[in-house]
Amino acid sequence: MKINEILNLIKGKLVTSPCENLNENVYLKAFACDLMSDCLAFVNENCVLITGLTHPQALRTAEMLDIDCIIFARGKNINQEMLDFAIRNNMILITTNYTVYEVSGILYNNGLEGLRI
Amino acid sequence: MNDVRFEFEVYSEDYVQGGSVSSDIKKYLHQIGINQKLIRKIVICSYEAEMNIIIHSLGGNLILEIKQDLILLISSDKGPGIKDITLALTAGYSTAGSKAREMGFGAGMGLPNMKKNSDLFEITSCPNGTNIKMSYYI
Repeated sequence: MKINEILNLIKGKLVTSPCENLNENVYLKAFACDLMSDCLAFVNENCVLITGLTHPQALRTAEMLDIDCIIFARGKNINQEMLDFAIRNNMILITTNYTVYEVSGILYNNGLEGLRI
Repeated sequence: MNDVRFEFEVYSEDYVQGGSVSSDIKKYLHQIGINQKLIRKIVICSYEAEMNIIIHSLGGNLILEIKQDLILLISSDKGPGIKDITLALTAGYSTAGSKAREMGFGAGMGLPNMKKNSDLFEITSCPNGTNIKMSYYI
C-alpha cells in the first residue's frame, strides 16, 4: 500500500515525509500498538506502525526497528521535538482523527496485512 | 579489525535522552558493516537495557565490545537491584511506574526481549547493582 492510498483511506494528514514522490514507498504489513516494549518484542519485519502514543520514545522505538512510517491515531498532535527527530531520521509521520481500532480495520480491509508474531 | 570497546554513561531518569546511546551503537554497527539482522538484535537489547537503567536504576553504563567473532553488550547499573530475577524474566511482569508507562514502557517485556535477542544472556543482581552480559556471535 502506498502512502497516498493510506492518507486517503484514513483521512490522514501528512506531517512530514522525506520522499517527494508519495508513491515511492510501498508497505505490505502493519502493527498497531501503544506499548513500545511489545513493538520491540514482536515487530520482525518492515511495517507501518499505528499508535496512539505521541511520546518521543515512540519514534526512538521506530528508529531501532527501522520503521519509517508511523500513523498517530485519535487526533494526537506531534510536538516540535518529534517533528525534528522524524526529519533527521527520514520518517514519514501521519496523523488521523480515527482511533487505532478504526485505522487498523480500514487498512486491513484494504489489503494491509498484520504481522505474524 | 582490532578489538574495540566503547563505554557509554546512562543517567537515572534521563527520559529525554533515552535511546540516544542505542542510536549511536546502531550507527556504529552500520558503519563497520555488521549485518542488518544482527544489528537489529543488538539494538533491541541495547535500547531495552538503556531504558531499564533510566527507569529502574540509580544510573549506570552500557559497554559495547567488538571482538573477532563476537560482540558483547554489557549493561551495568548502581542499584537498587532486582529482588527476584526469575520473576523479572517472566514476560508481562513489571515494576515500572507511571512515568515509564507514559513512554510506552513497563509492559514487562524488557528482560525477556533481551534474553530472546541475544545468543548468550547472563544476569546477576544485588542491592548494589545489576549486571547483564549479552553475547552475539558474528
